[in-house]
Amino acid sequence: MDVEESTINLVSAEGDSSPVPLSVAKMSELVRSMMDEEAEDDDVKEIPLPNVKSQVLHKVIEFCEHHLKEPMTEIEKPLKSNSMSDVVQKFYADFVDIEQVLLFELILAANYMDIKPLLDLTCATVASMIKGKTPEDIRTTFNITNDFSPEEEAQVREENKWCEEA
Amino acid sequence: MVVTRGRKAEAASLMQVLQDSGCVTNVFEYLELEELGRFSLCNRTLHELCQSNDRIQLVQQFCKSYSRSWTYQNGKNRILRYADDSVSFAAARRGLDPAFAQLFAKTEGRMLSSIASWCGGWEAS
Repeated sequence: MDVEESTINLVSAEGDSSPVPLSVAKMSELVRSMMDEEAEDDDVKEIPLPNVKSQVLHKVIEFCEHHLKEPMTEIEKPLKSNSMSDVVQKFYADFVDIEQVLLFELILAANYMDIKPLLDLTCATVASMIKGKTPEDIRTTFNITNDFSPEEEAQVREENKWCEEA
Repeated sequence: MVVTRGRKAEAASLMQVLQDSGCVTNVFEYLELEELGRFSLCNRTLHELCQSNDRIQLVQQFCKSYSRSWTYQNGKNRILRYADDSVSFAAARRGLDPAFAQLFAKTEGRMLSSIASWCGGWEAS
């Protein structure tokens, strides 16, 4: 008879509790270290994650659960393609085919929870959206405000001619 | 994947959060050198962040150190080529960080013409 793996509850910013197998939760170095610190306290069953919204936490858990079954291919640096389906398995490419707002929140959550493969995937996805684009295209894609004065912009463009001509 | 109209303001502030949190430097690692350079031209904050990137600093180091006026000549004093015709060779000869030569060895073909042309007006160091 299989012994069922014990679980721990990850608690989101909104206070929602998600039961997660220990092996999944421990993909987060933050959770792992919090559990280690509380190792003497057998009653530790909840880990508060006040910086992570419920929607984002569900995506993080989905990633970690799948990663245990099918580890993500290591992403080559620098990226060789602007299509994530060319660099990672289908699940992971589909996983990051999401709205930018959620993608950015996932980056922050991966950074906060210290989940390296998720941080790699999400940051590489942002890079794939930059790849091959002009500064003007990048500003449009990410809604970045150009705060250079005309004189400053002319100067930095002159100093960086090498990258615009390459 | 683009920002939908209703969430543009939110996305803009999130990009700021990425910059402020330092997570954007993780993105740098996945960009080719030229792409990183173009990304740095988007706004002041990104420009400042990119200036501290090792690869960008190496390019600047090169451009401050080399000139078209540093030449290789044959026995009859005929100019065979210029130092910045071969970035990695020049870097190695000048004793710069070996990582620089290694970096340019990968992309030298594409980068040479633009860097050489950019450095054309520089004075000898």
